[in-house]
Amino acid sequence: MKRLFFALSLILGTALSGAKPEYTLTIFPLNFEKQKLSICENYPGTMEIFFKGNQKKYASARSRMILDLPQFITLTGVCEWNKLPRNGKLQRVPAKISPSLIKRGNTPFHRYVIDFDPAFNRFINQGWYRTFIVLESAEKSAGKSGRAYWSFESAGDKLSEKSFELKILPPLPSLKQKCKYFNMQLYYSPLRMFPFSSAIQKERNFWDNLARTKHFHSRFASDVESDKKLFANYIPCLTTDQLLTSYDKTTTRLRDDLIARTPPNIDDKGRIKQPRRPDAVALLGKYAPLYEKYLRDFLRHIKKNYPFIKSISDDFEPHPFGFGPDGRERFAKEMKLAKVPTREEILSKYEEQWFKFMIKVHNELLHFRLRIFKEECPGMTYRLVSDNLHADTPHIARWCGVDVSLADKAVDLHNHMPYYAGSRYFDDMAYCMKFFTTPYLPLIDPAERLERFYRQYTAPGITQNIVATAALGGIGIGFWPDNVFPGEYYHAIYQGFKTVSEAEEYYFNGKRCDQEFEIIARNTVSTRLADGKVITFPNFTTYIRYTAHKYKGKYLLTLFNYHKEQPLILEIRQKRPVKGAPFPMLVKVAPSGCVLAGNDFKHERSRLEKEISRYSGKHNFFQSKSLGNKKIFWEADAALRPILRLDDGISSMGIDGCNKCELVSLNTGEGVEFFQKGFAGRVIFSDINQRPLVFTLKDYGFTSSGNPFITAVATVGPYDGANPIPNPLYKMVITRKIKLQKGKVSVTHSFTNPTQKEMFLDLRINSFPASIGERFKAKNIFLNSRYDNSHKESFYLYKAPEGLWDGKIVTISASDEFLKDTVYFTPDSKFKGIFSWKAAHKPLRTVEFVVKEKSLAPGRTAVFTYTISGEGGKK
Amino acid sequence: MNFKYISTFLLCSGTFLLSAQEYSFEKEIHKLKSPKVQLDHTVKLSSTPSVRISDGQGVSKRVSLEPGSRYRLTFYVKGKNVSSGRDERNRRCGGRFYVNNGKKWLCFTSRANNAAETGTFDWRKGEGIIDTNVLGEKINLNLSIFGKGTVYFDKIRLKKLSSE
Repeated sequence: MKRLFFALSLILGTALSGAKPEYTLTIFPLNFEKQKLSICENYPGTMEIFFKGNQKKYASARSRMILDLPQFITLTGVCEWNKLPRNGKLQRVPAKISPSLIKRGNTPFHRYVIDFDPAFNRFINQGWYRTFIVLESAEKSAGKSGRAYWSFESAGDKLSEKSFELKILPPLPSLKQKCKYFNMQLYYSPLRMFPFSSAIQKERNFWDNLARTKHFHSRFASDVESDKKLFANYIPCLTTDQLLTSYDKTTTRLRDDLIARTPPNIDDKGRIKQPRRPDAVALLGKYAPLYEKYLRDFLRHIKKNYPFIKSISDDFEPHPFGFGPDGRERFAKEMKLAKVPTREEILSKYEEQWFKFMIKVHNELLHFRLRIFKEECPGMTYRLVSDNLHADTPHIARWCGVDVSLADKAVDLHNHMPYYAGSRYFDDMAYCMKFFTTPYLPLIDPAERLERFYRQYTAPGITQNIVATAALGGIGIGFWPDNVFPGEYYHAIYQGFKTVSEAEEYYFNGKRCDQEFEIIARNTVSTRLADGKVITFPNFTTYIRYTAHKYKGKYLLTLFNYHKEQPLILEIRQKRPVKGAPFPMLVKVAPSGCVLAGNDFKHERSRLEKEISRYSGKHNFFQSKSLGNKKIFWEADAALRPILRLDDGISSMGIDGCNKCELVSLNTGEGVEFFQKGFAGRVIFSDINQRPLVFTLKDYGFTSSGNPFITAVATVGPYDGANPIPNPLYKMVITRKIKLQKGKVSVTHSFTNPTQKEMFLDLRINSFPASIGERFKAKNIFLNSRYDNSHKESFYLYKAPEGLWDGKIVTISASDEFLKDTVYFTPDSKFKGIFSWKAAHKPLRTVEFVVKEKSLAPGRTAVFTYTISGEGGKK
Repeated sequence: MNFKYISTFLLCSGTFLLSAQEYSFEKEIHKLKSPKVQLDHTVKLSSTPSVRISDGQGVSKRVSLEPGSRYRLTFYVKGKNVSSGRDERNRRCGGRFYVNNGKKWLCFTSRANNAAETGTFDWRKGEGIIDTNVLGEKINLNLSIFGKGTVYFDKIRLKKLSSE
């Protein structure tokens, strides 16, 4: 009987428990933080819920969450961000919460049953409808940690219970002194819109006291009155996408009307770019009167109805598209082409010219808007939000197509998007400051909901960004899209503003004097080579950045260590010592850290001297190895770059082991050199958005067969900055092995896909024997891949049936009356073709083996090898 | 005198003068009688022997050039165990090709900035410009090595440059 009862219960329970859920529920930032959340003791912890699934099934259903929290945390509330029309007015309705106390095992928990408003289901999958959870920790709970549990059901379909770790961090201190000159910009604070007064007060205690001058963005017209109270003493800004916005019904109607009446922006695939925006050339041409009317109507509406708005941001990320008929016709006219090219023709023949054309068009469009803005809105500021200039080439991002320096004198504020951290942020900031005369307030996005942007940041990296911005001349820093972060980030923001507040007078009233100083890393090992040269390892040069300021006779250095693991002990030396200046000075900078040093910021020397003394003794960093007559040893090139030389007794090769880990020398026994000033083994992706790979030397020695070798490894990182497209090769691991065997070099690359998604390899492996023939000043280079291609400019040659390459050996040779040098490249069968670049006015060519459309399944590795040998001698 | 013969002779001479002239050091080496300065019939670029110089030695040849002209000097050099550093007379070691008029000295090597030839290396080409407006028409071509080691010089040529 008992067994029958149990079976029936099981059957009934299964029938009543609901089907497998056809939805997902994701909670940010838990999804990116491996289901962990840290909260500062005196600051709310906010999370956002993403509800996606079968709209038909769930849109008219109701949802419930059960949340169990350790006793030192309470749920303040759950609330939607958007106001919705309810009962004849716009309302923002928090979820209904039923609290109780329970025990899980023997441990007491707060239990919250959260019943979501019907809107939560009605707007499933809608990105604009946002819901947030707000938690607060108990007083004196810093240091405590525990686990929270939650379950969720909608329309009777339940998710199995999940959990996340909670940790309480120390309370956020208050700045003794707000930044006087340095601005803080906070795009949105969802929390300030919710009816949770204690949480709001804690939020304001922190953000309102970082800087005297603060900016915020008014998100919804229906919140204007509360914006005025909650963001008192902030400069109110309105966000627009090219002065198009859905701030209220009127602006939405005006926008939609313009979009409907103008041709759309066509992308490089021939599709209407989403969200739909008007074609730029059309707006400047036939539709200019309509566009002008729109701008005036829009701006007058804002001025009249929202006089508290003091600034409008023009978010301009157009991409260099515009492939509609208007753009192509104007292009053909300006290029004096016989006919209007198709989109495909432009992409294949005029890619570079089209990019420059669209930069020009975008600049004209900006100035068109600016002219009308200044006429209609005197007294308001216009801030341009676009992709910043980049120190590396291309200086103007290919994905955006806007040269912001062209609008420098016309805009009131540069407010661009260097959405990353690290030395790249520093370098790009410094580069922008060379071109900007208008103030620059860069944005960063540590709260971005897209993982590839979220991963760009760490807490120390955020502090570095804030300090670097101020030190390099930025007037402030902004946070997009909002301030929903893990607890560590708030501490990092506090630290950044604290450092700036202490150094501000130097930054804003002092003068830069970087050239008076040199900064040397002292926690390094050096070796004096037999020829007297000194090489240093690690070479921290690329990780060190600094600024120097002089103010009222005193100096301030701001030092940055962009190494993620190594602390640096830096010596600050003044090239021409000044009496009374506190240099030389030793300073320790933590990994990913930044430090102030100078007259007002002294550091204890003796402890650091003791620390660096251990680097002056014997060490193994530049270890030599030998096996019979084969040797591996370090040497230095003319630039004192450490080169690892591997000699097999017949010939030798050099690897720049502390830099790119490429072959940079191949030398016959008689000293004929083929690769100096060149390289071999460089991986170049066809995708121009891929950043250069950074290889690290992992190992060197002798194989089991006694051949000298090196191994180096690189990992593909995310795309640059604010580029919204995810990098399809992100996290790919590339291992490079270069081996010397009887005078031949084998270069092997293994590409491993550690992800769950398929990847496609489209790349070249580049070899550049720049020294070939140099010993006899050769003016001719012959490339032979069975057919003599020496007369050709840069070209691709594919294997049959697509092309004529037989897939076998490729030679480059140079000769004069008496001598001939030849380098032989022998590929394995997996390469699809070759590419050869030819220099315009010099006898230089590359040999690049092409990998095309090679699928790499999750967990798999693809290996490509080619060998190189060289021969120099009499003709 | 046969006019045709004279004009042919002059034409050939003129042609000869416009193309590069190659210089042999055979007589000078023979006169020097040094075992460390010899013609080498094995290490060479073509059928004619190269000049082999070792361990701090040198050989010089006097040539006459046209006044008011510029010449391109080219030569090939090969080295074996050529020391670097300084020799016993504190001179920088290495192989060099000097051109001088007794007072003014020009140095040419195959390396950037005319740095001395050192080490062991296969044939390399050296170049330089000689201006008789500066040096005069009578100059010395001087092949030398300071310090230990051996250098080979071959295909020493001077080509008069047209008014460029």
